[in-house]
Amino acid sequence: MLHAIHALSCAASLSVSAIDIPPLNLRGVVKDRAGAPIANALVVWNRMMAVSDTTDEQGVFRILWTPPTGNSSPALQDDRQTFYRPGEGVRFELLQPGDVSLRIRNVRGELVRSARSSLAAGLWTLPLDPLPVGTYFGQLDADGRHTTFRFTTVQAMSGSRHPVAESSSTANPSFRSVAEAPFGDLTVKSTGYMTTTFPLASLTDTTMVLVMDAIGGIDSSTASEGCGKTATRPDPASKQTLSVSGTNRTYLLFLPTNYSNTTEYPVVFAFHGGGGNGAAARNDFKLEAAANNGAIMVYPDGGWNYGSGTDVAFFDAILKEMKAKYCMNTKRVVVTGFSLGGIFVNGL
Amino acid sequence: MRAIVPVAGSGPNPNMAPAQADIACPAGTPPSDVPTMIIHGTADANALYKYGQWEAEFWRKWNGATTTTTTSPAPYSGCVDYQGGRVPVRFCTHSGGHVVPSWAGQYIWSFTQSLP
Repeated sequence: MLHAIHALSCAASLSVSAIDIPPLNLRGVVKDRAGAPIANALVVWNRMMAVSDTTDEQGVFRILWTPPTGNSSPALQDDRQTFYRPGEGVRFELLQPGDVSLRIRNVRGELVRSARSSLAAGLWTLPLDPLPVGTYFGQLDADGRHTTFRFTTVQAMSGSRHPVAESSSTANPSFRSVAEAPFGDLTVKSTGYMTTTFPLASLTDTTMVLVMDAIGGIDSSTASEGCGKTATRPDPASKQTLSVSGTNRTYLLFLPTNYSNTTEYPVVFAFHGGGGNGAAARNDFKLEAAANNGAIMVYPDGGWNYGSGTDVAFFDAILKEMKAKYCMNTKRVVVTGFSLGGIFVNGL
Repeated sequence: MRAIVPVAGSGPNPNMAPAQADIACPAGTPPSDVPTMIIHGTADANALYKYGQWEAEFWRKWNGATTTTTTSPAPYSGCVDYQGGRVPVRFCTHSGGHVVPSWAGQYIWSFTQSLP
């Protein structure tokens, strides 16, 4: 009797069906075109972003996943069973007719999507316009009760392995329809390689070989994380600001006028002399004319106190920023400096 | 660091004379070679020319080169290359003072491009 009452009280609430998320048993190796294993590649199952693995030194990944149990009972309070499907929306099952409202917030708590509908009982998908890449929190309300869930959207590269297609989809994230890949996809990311999506033919494939192309055919061992990322070219005459240990530091940044995120640029730092600034170094060294768009140039504003670690930390911070945002050859960093800046060069 | 090019500077320790250059590389620590080009004016009144010479001496030793020099190939007018080093060490002098010579950018870029 007690059991029957329990079932009745939950009948009007929302529950998410778990029937279309079977167990997953995948194993494989990620390689480059030459057949060499790629270590530290991130392999993500698109249907559930949390289901992922990172390849080991032999390029091997292993994904074992079992869907959450308990789908036979109403799951309004069970966050694990509410999910977002890229290209579709939020999927749930309504056990009795009722008003349903959905709210999606970003990590800052701002409402980015909402939907409200009176629905009959059954399996529903509330459609969502594609969301920018990021992490989101959803809340689904019905009959005075609610369930919350969290999801992360990634850029779907849709099997594109061509550098041009890659950069265009980077600028305009798109999402695959589930119908195109009934078992979902594995998206593989690794520094220096084209992010590649492999449709799954089976959920129990333990002999997968996933081959990735290096970005622009360049050497993955030297490419920065910024390769393949969309970058905005700053005004080379306007100061860029970077917070270093709580202090705002400034520098000028020159990106080639025809900057390409598939070219590994050398980065040249030019330090000004005593009493000068980055603009003076830019003017004095005339590096941009010499390099003819062949390099990224950085002109920090510094004090160059010999033996003081603050300018070294500033240099390290800029370099980190360059690697993260722009495509550079991490083994072609050149430093030059005039006078005090030259002393700083020797100290570095 | 793929290369360093100090212009009218000094150091690594501003007070370091050539005889002291060895101390910057602690015993037992394998030096990390770094291709170096030094640019310095003989009439520099701020960072004296001898400081530039000390720099050259320091990086010559650091990179395992001998004191034997040869004239650098074009376009490096006024430069010499120390021989026998694990990586290039080039010393470019000019008759000017405490300045960045107008050709410095071109030399730096050419030097960068010449490295493997």
